[in-house]
Amino acid sequence: MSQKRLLALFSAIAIFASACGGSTATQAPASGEASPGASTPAESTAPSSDLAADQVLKLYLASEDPHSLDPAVAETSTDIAILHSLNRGLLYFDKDQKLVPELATALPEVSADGLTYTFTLRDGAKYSNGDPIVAGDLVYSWRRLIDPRLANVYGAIIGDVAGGQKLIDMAGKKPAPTDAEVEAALEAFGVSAPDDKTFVVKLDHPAGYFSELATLWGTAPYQKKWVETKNFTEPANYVSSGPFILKSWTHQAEIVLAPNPNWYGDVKPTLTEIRYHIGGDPAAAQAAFEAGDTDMQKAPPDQVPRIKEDATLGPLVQTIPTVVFDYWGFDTKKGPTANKHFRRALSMAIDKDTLLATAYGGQGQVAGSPIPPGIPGHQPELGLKYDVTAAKAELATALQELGVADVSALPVLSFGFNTDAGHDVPAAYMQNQWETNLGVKSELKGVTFDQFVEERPKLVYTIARNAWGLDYPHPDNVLRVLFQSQSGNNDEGYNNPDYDKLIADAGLKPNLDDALPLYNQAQTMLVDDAPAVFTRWRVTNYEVQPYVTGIIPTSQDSENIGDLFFENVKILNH
Amino acid sequence: MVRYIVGRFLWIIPVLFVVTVLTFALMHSVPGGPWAREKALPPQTVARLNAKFGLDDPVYVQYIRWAGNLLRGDLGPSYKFADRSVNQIVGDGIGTTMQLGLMAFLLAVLLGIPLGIFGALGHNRWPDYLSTAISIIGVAVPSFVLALLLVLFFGVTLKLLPTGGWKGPEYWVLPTIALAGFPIAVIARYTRASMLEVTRKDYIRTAHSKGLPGQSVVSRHMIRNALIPVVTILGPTLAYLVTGSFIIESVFGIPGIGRYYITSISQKDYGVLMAMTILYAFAVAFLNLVVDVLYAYIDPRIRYS
Amino acid sequence: MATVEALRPELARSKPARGLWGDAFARLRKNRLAMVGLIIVIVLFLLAIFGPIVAPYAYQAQDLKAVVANGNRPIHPGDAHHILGTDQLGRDLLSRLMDGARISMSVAIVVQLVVLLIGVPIGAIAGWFGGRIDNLLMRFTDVMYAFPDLLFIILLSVAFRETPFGKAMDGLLVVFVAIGLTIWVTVARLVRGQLLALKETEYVEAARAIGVSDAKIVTRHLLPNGIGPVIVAVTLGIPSAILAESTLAYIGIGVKAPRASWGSLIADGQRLIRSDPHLVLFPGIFIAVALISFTFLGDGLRDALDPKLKGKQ
Repeated sequence: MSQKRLLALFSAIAIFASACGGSTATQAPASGEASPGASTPAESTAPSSDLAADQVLKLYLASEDPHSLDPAVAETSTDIAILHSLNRGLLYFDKDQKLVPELATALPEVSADGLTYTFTLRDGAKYSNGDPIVAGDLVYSWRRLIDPRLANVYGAIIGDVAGGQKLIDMAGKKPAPTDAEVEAALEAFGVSAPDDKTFVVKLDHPAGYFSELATLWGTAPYQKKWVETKNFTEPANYVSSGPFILKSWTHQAEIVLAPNPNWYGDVKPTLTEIRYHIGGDPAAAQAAFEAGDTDMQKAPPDQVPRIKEDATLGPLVQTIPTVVFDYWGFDTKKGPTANKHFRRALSMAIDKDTLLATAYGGQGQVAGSPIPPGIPGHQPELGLKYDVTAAKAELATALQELGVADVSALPVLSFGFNTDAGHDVPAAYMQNQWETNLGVKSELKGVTFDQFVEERPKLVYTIARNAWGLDYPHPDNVLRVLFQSQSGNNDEGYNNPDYDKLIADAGLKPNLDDALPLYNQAQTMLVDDAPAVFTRWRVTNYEVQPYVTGIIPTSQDSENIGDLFFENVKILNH
Repeated sequence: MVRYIVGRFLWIIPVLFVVTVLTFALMHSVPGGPWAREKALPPQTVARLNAKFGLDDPVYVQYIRWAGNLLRGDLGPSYKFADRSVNQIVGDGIGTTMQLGLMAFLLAVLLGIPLGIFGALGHNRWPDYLSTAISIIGVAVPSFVLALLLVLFFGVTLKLLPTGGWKGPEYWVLPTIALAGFPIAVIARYTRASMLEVTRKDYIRTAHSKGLPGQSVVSRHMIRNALIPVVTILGPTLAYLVTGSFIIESVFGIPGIGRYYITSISQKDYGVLMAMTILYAFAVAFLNLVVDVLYAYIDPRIRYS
Repeated sequence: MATVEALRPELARSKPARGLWGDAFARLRKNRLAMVGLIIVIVLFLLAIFGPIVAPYAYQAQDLKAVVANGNRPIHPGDAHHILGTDQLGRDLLSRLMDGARISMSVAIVVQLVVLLIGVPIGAIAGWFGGRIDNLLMRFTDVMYAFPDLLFIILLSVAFRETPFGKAMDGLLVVFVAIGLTIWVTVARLVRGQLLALKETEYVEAARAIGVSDAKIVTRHLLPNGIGPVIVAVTLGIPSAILAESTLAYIGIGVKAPRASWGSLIADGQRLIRSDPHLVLFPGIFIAVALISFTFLGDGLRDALDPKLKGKQ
């Protein structure tokens, strides 16, 4: 099963909005210079004479079909892996994950109050069917994303737009609002197209991270007439706005992409086909790569040590950081883990180096804080270090505050995880560390995925496995979405008003550079409070045949290395 | 006889009714729904999705709606593969699954029955031990291990056969063997046991004592009688094989429907789950009917009225 | 020759009447393979009871130092301290296998008990009485047959999660019973098929003619005669029950980490099969040995219980 792209939730928005007034003059976040890095040819561009006659890239996609190639419905990493090649929005990323214009001519103009974002569209941009891409299509696609009648999983992600919260709430209303009411609310939604080349978004409140949302698959433009075609996500009907088109899709077996002849971008694809094999588990996909059936492969984590030692495969391995991190959240509301010192004691009693080396097979980086490397706000030095003496001191304080005479008088902690993905091994390791280093006893409770995700937010477990993958490379997507007290994704019941205020203030800064000190302060506070043990920033190990060139790897790669930028990939003679 | 068959065939309808009602009720009483994600969806979205698919109606209303659609040949929407209907999903995969299942069934019967007979005729001598050893390996090696070993040996080491996919006859070989491994063992064991049973029957002794030559005894009396209990398990075996295997289809990346037995339960894709249930139930009920009719054909002592 | 062999033991046996089961055990003792099987089965059960006491380590004990010293890789078999090697946390495979015997043996017993207690009586009643009762019971088995197993097992274990039944044996009992409930039907149909065929035979008619009661005919003549395929079904059912348990453990139903059954050790180990095959190999060998023993024992029992084979061998 492919790893789910994790969904950002916005239930905090209402509180967030009410907490803020007007704000300062602004500019788009991240790289102000609009260097179209996405279109920068890869360093290792080869002379064309070296290119293979057969420019077909063969890949493994996932064990099953994408769930949907409808940009408004797509949610899993498999869906997104394909959509990165098929559809492009107003903005995109360069190789360093800085924002760059894609369909837009430049980063948006932001009004002085930080509420109005104006995008200008490129001249001559066309869909794969030859029709021009107009700003009205964006109005349609943004409205469709948040349309309460469709209840799209990612709909709430543009809830910052004026009238967005009303549309989100409409979805939950009973009886369901009439079509006329919905249409009126969509009409009032803060997106507009004064002319074919201008797209304007009005926000409810300033949000420094907002431009990031214009990179997402769901905010890409598409035509109403396409969506209204029967079976519109099938290859015969698919209309794309990106560098590739959907050439064929044999369900649960194969997807073939081909270059989009009308692609407006600066880098035109060299590949004549991308052939994705669908089906088979990761171990079988690895076997297929070794048999020469595919050109690149995501190494199955359990096999990485073997692959790295292998004389043939070892040299092909590239280790790429990802935007995913693992953490184990405490119940901060009740029981001994409601005590900050007890949580700190547990956090400091784990030798994470050995945890990573053994239970995780040495893959990843030991984490001390949530924001992963490569994301603004990453603080490499932050974290509670492994220190048994200090942990014991924290434990003594905790016991005193809890009024417990001895560690043996503590209840047995329940340690929850889902059993379908090998989490029992790190859990058993941590259980052992606490018992050995502190004498704290816990009981492992492995349950099915369904049961686990239902129980975890209800604080059924004293400590529960958790993980997060960023939807956009911005500290907001971690610090607010996971740990702000009102957020629907706060699975620890963590509630620190000082922390909430820092996050809210940081969100009001339209400029990331101004916001960063606040985010840093917040993350430091978070680590000090220890609502969770942050264990690992994940990496992905890819095996890549040397004849595949022009790959631009990023930490946001979905299923294959460099799959944000396949238009740059070329196949050399081999 | 004809009346019996027609009656039994009609009986499949209430069986399907009971099975689908129970499955439907059970499915909806298991906690968690199709909208469970690693991170919870907004409650408003969940409410709307439930309303959109009628999941907030009473279960019996949902069942009636589902059954009504079924009678019109509509298996409903898939919650997971949002672009496609259950009809499309099942229609795409069922041919592949049945083809694989039939090939594995033929292989299992063609190898399992001779293997069992071979073992029984050499009772407590080397043919017996060989037959027993093969069937023990067949049962003791889990199919996911067998499948992986086949891929590694024939696909990666020897590079003789493709590691996965379903594009032509060379792709069929390994999955068929991997899928047939367990049924071969089971059929061989049953055949052997049944043969040994029959060897001791009075009429075989009588036949021997009447001086009928060994070969003729074996073929005319023993095998026919020995196959009766074996036929009992062939029905469910075939039903199990033609409705697909989650593990084999997953390991070899075969675009069949077997994968949905597990994924539709774990992801609460109710429409797909109900389609799989009714398919499986029909296959089992129908093939059991076939078995009972075959009984009467093979075993003249049994008469249906 | 065959006739003579068939007659001689009848004469020899006619003196002391030890009853069906006494005779059977006497015959079983003469069957060398069956006795080997029986001894191994007894050893496995002893292992299930006393394994955790005699095991070199506790099943959950981690020897991280050894793993770190080994370049963070699982220790392979042949190590001085871990004779069968360890997993990636340095947990001793032999100790885990010895502890796993407890789970794998209990799944074997509970599942087959359910099968025998439900499947054989229902099959026997249907086969013997025939007619309307047969029809009713067989239609009931049709429904059970047609049921999707996995959903049934998941539901049962969820429904009883908070009851004493659901909590018995660490939540394993309910899972084992559920597995049994999904497979008794095969045995029921098998027994019925046997009885349908057997009840028309001469000796049954003879027994009836001299006024032997139905119950006695079924238990003394029909069941022993039809028991061969049943015993095979049960002996074959044991490893499938062990494997079914492993599939369920994999999706989170049944054995709970850090404990492990043989099946769940295989399911976990197959992810590392290419670098550390011992994690699959040894649990596989344990399952195979258990299966061979049950098979030999089952074959021996069948021969021993067959009245027509009295005294043979």
